[in-house]
Amino acid sequence: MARQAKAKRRPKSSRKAGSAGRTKSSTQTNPVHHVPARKAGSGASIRVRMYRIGFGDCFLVTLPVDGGHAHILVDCGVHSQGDIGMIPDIVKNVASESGGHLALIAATHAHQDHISGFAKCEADFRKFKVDEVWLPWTENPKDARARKLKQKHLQLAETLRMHMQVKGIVVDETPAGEALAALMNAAGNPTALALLKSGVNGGTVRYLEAGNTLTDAAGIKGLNVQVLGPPRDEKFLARMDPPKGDRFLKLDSNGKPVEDDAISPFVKKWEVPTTFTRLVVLQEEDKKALKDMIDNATGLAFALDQAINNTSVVMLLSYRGQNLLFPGDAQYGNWESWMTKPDAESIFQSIDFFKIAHHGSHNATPKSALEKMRDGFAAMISTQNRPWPSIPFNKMLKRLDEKASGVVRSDSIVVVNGKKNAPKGPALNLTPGFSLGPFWCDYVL
Amino acid sequence: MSNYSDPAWRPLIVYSFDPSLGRTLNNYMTVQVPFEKLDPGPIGRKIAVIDYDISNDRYYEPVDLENASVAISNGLNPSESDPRFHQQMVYAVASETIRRFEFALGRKIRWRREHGHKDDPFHARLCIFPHAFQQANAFYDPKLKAVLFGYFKASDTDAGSNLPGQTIFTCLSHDIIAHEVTHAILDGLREHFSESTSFDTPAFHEAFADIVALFQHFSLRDALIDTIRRTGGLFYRSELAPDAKPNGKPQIVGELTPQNPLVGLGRQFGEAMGMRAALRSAIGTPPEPVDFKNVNEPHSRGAILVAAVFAAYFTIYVKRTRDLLRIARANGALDGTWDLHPDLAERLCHEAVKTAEHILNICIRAIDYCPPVDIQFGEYLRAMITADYDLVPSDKWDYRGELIKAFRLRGIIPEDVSSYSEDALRWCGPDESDKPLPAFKGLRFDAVEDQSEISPKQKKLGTKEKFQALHKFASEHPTELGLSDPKHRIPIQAYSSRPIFRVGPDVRYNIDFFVQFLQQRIEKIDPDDPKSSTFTFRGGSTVIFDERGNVRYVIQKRVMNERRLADQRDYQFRRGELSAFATYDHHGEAEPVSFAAIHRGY
Repeated sequence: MARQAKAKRRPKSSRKAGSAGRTKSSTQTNPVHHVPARKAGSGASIRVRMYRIGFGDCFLVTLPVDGGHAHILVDCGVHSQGDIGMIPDIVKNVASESGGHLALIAATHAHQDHISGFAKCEADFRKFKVDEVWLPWTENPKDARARKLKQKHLQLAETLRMHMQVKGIVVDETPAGEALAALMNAAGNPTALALLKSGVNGGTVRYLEAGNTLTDAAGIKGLNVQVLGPPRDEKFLARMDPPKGDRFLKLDSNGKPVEDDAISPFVKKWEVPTTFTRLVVLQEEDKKALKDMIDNATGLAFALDQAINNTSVVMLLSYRGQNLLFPGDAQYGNWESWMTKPDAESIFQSIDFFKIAHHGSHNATPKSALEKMRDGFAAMISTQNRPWPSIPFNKMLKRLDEKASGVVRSDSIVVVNGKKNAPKGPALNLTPGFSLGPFWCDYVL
Repeated sequence: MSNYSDPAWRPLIVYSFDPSLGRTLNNYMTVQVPFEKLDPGPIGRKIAVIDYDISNDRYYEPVDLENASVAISNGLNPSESDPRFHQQMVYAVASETIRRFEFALGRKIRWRREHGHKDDPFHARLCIFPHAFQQANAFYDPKLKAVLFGYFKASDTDAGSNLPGQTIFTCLSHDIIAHEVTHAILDGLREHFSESTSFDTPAFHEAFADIVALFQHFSLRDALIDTIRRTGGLFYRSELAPDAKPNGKPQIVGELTPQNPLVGLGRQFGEAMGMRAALRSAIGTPPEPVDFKNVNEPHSRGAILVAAVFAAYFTIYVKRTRDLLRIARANGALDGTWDLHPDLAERLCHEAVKTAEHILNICIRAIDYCPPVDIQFGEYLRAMITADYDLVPSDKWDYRGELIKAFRLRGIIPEDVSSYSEDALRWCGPDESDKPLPAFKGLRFDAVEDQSEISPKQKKLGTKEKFQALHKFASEHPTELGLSDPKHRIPIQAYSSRPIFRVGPDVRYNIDFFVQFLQQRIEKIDPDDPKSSTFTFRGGSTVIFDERGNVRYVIQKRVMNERRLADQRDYQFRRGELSAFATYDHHGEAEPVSFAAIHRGY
């Protein structure tokens, strides 16, 4: 079980003053769960804590500041089909680590697996003192364009869900079942969003868009944040704009399908019975083939999911010479909007820590972006292969392993007294800087 | 009963653009459709219009164009509320598109290989459903050999020139009909172009469909003349001069510089979709060579090809009309005036139409000169140059030079070509070997499809013999014909063979014989993963013989080309990055090029 730290090293030259916090503990050899993680505060180093939340994201970033620490919570949510029941424990841990004071809550986008914790533990969150709450511009109720987009997302999710319900689709490993799981992620988040948009508890709410730069962000002196996504330019809006909702069956209160949005394109007199003289009448099997062809609910559900992922806040946190990239669930369309710009090169070359986007799915870490990143960054992936067996995407992980000084997947963290049926990832490989807690993994920069 | 012979044409009224333009800009026009007897539908020999509404599970009354009162008045008058006019319009525009292909290709077109039962009325026909479903979409489906048009409500808040909430019919847009039918025709000519093998293949399908739809418009005098007049002959401008413009300032607000309907396809459709602007508008985009490297979304990438062809078209038009404008200037006319002398407008229009027809023909003929699989934009340029050289060697107006220039400015570089000169771009003959390739002796020129003196049985036998002879020839000379060495034991399929008869402008009579050979390998998508799913990697060649059986061109995509294989694997991977499907797809199936999905914009 003992495991040696990987020989791979971060390039020394890239490390700057102020990051001398790495200590002997980085050569930890045994991922025994009871080894206490290095307390934040034992040095002037940045700590990123990834919780084992199931299929979702929850990260606590702790920054050393004059006279103590400042805490940033990036997302807190789990997919209902990938929940391993850890959220209450996680919120408790966040509270004890932060002493009930969060300088910032960043909710990257409005998917259940990133914000459901704010609904489930609403009462607990209301007890936190929160200085700032960040959301993507697409959530801004004062922004007409955002409202329109948001309304479209919600309506489409709802009609598609109804449609699938009528058709008797359940979450399973068929494409339609996987599409339904993606839809469930988009629905049912109003409580969490309301809490976040209210500032949680006295916090200032900011809606971010690509191009924003914040100095001394969230009141933390020396914290600079560069917002890379979501974009606002016309050219990329389409990436967040799912195709128009086509007509789908809905249900009435008795569970009967109704077609309230049906258009009758012509007045009644043009309709003819199948007995009409010399009318070509289709065979039943042809009708069925045609019906299947126009039913694009599965495709639309995936497109909608990608559209919402592309509204993710992508932020580069820079503090005391360290650069941490948190891209939410940004998929290719969002990445593309900034990775082709001239300054992207220097960003890729500066990254020390990288939160892998969208649980390590195929199209959330563009190959071209990964290739441009300098070797030796540390990476964390909050993931598990339920509800979607294709996540994380192995080919990307393989390349990531070669590029990074260390990679930890959240499903490799075995939860002490945890749920028995929680999906298990591959065995842990803790490289320097990483250490384990009962249901989390820390990385110290 | 007296004996009357059938007429040559059946005139039918259609919208030149779509209903949103009302009656302005000569929006009504009459299409001359080659005459054929029609059943209600209309159902003809190649097309079956079936007005079955899948979403509502109902049929709408089919139009009977044989009815005397309909026939005598050039069909029904344009109407958005009468489904029978819609049926007439899709039939007319689809037939017009087919006619242009048959003219350019010098033969009858066929749809994708026939399937289903022979007695099925749709066996050999393209089925068109003008009101198939309630979606803002229209698409061609290769599996069902059907074109489906959707209808939908215009956006309530952002409806462009439509009424908010009005029902929009995609089947009433001239461009959308031509575009979708072109997909179907191209699929019949090159079945494997529907397979997504590089970023160029889906983009090519889109670009080609747009090129045909747009040039079909530019070769319609009625649609063009008003635009010529209102742009002072510079009809590629994106805006039209207002109708009322006494001295500089328009007095009538409603006529403030309307958009040029010729340079934005599917305008009504695009505006009704709300946030998206016109569906496709590529014309007049300044060349940006890096785009070709970076732009991968099929419509945007296709737009680069469309823009290249149009740049060449406009340049040639300008060259051809320079003298006319000089004459007009000599008589005191001003440059770029908004309202041309009608005679001059007529002459300019004539040149524009003629040039459009030429370019459209070049673009269509080039398909016969394309490899059988995996088309790249650069190869299409080579196909255009070769096809046009074969028919019009003199090229007085330098059409080929302009095409080459337009492609070069957009960074579209054909592989394995030493320079951008016409000589270098023309396809080559058989690969050099020790002894010259002998002529093929088994050519058969059974040009007329239904020669009644040949029984179907004889015909079938003849076809079999022909393919056997071709197969034997290919097996004897595989390397010269762009196929794999026999040691690899990859079977060769003689896939299609067509004689083509053409008369060039110099009245030379050309007879050529076009054959496609196909080969395939089953390969893993990820060679490093033992559990990887597989895909079919195709290769092959298009071989062009002259009438004596000598090989003139070999247009090859070798199946043993390992670099091509690596490129296709890389493409499968990169496409996954763009695809919403790939995120959750663990089935490992490569997503098919679905025209439906592309038109939906994801």
